[in-house]
Amino acid sequence: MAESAESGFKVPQDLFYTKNHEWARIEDGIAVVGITDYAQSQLGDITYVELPEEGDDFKKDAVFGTVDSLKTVAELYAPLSGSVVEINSELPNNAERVNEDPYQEGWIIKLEIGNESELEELMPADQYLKLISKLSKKKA
Amino acid sequence: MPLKQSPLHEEHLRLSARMQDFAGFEMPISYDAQTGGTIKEHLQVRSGVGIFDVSHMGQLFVEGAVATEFLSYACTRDFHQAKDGRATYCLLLNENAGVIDDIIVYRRSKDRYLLIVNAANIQKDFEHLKRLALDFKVEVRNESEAWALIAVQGPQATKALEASLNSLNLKHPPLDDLKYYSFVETENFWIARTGYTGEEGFEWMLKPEAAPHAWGALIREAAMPIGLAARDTLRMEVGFPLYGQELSETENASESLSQFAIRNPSEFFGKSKLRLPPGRQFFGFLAENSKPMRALENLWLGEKRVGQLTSGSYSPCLGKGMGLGWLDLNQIEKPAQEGAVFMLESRGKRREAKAINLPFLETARVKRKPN
Repeated sequence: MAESAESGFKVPQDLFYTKNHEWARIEDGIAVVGITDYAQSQLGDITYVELPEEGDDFKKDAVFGTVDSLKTVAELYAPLSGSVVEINSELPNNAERVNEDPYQEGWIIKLEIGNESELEELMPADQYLKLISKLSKKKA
Repeated sequence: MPLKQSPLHEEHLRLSARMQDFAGFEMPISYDAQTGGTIKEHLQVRSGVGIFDVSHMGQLFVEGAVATEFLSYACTRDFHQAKDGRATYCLLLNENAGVIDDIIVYRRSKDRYLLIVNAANIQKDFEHLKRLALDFKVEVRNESEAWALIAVQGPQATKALEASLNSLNLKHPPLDDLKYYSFVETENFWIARTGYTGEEGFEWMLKPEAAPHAWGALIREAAMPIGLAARDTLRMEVGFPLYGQELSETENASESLSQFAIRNPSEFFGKSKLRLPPGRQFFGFLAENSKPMRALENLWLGEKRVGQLTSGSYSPCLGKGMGLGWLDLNQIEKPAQEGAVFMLESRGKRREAKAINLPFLETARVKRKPN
């Protein structure tokens, strides 16, 4: 797993990323979606995730839910257009999974991809790594 | 203006604390890298022992032959009958009975007192007290920069502090003999049995140069460093007010969460403007789920806005969103009872919030009143 040299945040190579700090893992026309290690770290303790319902359709960049931490509330943006085929049913009772394991146990929804070509608009790992390195530097 | 730093600044950096501006001081918000986050820090204080750097708080000394008369005029409590070695929570009011600050007054003798005040209000309190002191023969001194303050809180606090004092060869009376809201002072440090978490605990006031040694000794006794974020959720669970949230200059003290601290039969500054009977009722509010409540969210009863949250967060012990807030007695037909359900508005959406008599939970030092 790749790590940002400066910040130590995990950025897996095999995922696609958005500038809003969501990730997508593509598996047979399905996108598994979550928030990045950098995002969960910025939010701090997450206690609640508001999820959409299965069958809901979202356009790329539309708000599909929210994440509440002790500190703040953040909106979740669909990285790709598609239809929700599964939600992580563990999250209503265990929202801290998003902090503990943002890329595996802490996934949020699965989308049936509506338009494959939108993938080209997402960032590969090395580009996202550059983005968060820049953001961490700006903070310091 | 550059941010002020605590005498423990280096210790916080060593622990990779998340630092943030707090009332003009660069203070640790959490120690995630060490502790796993604010919720874990919070739970550690409820079950073990945690230490907080609260060196940003201010120390004002009031001395003079009429110090007791002066403070009984400046504060919402009367100190004529107060015992030496005891601490008292009270308010400083402005001429409209708004709250200038909530403070703790330590009586050393009838002519010597120490006031511990909120960091954001040090200068304001100092100016206010000096102005009131023009009519009294007392001296008011600001020694805020000359003292560090470490809070040691939790069921294991006595053990951890006792062991730390011993490891540093600091002579002190047995901590078990110290009553709640009492303090002892030695030449170089003070220990008060006070705190802001509801737990068993102490506040250790000492010279800045000694603070890193004290902090290190406490860490060696397995005390967990706790940031200001957990300090906030801890105080909220036991219904303690925070200046700037529950208390302000523009809101009447008698309608505040600290109205219990107005207990002074003699004439005191601001007394004539107290609003009686109060037009507001303070409650705790609890959500049905784990979504945090937020300060300034409005409370609704049908189509009527009847109140507002002054603080909001998530209760790690109850696993639910919690808030402190007021209800406007002119907007509700009769005073609300525990269990009454209101609608809380968060970002255009409404959800239920149940009124709870504070505190949300009972702790070693905070009990719920019988219904």
